[in-house]
Amino acid sequence: MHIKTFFTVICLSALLMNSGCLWTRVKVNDIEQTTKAREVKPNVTTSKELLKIMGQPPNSVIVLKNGRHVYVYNSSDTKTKGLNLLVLIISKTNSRSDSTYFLINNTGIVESVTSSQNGQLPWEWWAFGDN
Amino acid sequence: MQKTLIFSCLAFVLVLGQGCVFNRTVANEQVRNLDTSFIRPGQTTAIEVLNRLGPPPPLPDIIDQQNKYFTDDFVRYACHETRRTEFRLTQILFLPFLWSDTQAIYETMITFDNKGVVKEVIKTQRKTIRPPFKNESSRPPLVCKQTTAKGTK
Repeated sequence: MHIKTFFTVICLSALLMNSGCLWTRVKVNDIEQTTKAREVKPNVTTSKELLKIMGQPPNSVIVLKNGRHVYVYNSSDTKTKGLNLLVLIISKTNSRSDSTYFLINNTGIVESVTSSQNGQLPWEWWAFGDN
Repeated sequence: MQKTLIFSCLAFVLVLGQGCVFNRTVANEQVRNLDTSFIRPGQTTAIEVLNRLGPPPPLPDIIDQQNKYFTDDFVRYACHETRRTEFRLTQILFLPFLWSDTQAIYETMITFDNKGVVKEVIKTQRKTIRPPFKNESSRPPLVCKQTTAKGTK
């Protein structure tokens, strides 16, 4: 009798642990980079000053013609929501990346700054359909 | 006898734990409906495009590399989607049964000439399928719209 009760409790506990909702969120890099980028003055700030303002080297550098290059700072946000029903898991992941581009001319001066607009990222779980 | 059956069923369910997984991942949906109506091929410059649309977003994983998004010759905005189906029998088999399809479902590519002026705007729309329930023949045809100084086709 005690063994059966014990077995039932173990089974029910395992079932409960195996089911539920899931939420995960992953952020990569500083999402506030856009705010820092506002301190950069086009045609005044040098590439060395840019590194001080941003506080880190760029995530990547794109080399352009005529000695120009682009310093790229990236950040991303990823949200996953799901429904975990024992033998069935349905989940949806929404991910958004944002960039800030600093175009630097051949004399090492920042020529222009462009940033993508940070927006809201929804939590969604339904993995089917087109919306 | 009935209790044994119930316990057997519960044990079976536990063994199969997390059997079917359906996931959909959408990356960079913000570029899905980019308004490119302000672009005049032969007149608008690359800097004007970047200032208005913002820099192209990179993807958070290894689908594409940053240098495929912006060069002297083009800028590319892409929204990617992945549909994944997985059958996990982790307690029995360690090899997962996994099918996935990833596509750039909305893509806008703007090309520039030697002077950095817009040459053409190409908008492409694709659909993902959910394998193994759908195969390549289920994929709707690709939709492509090209705008140049001569017009749209």
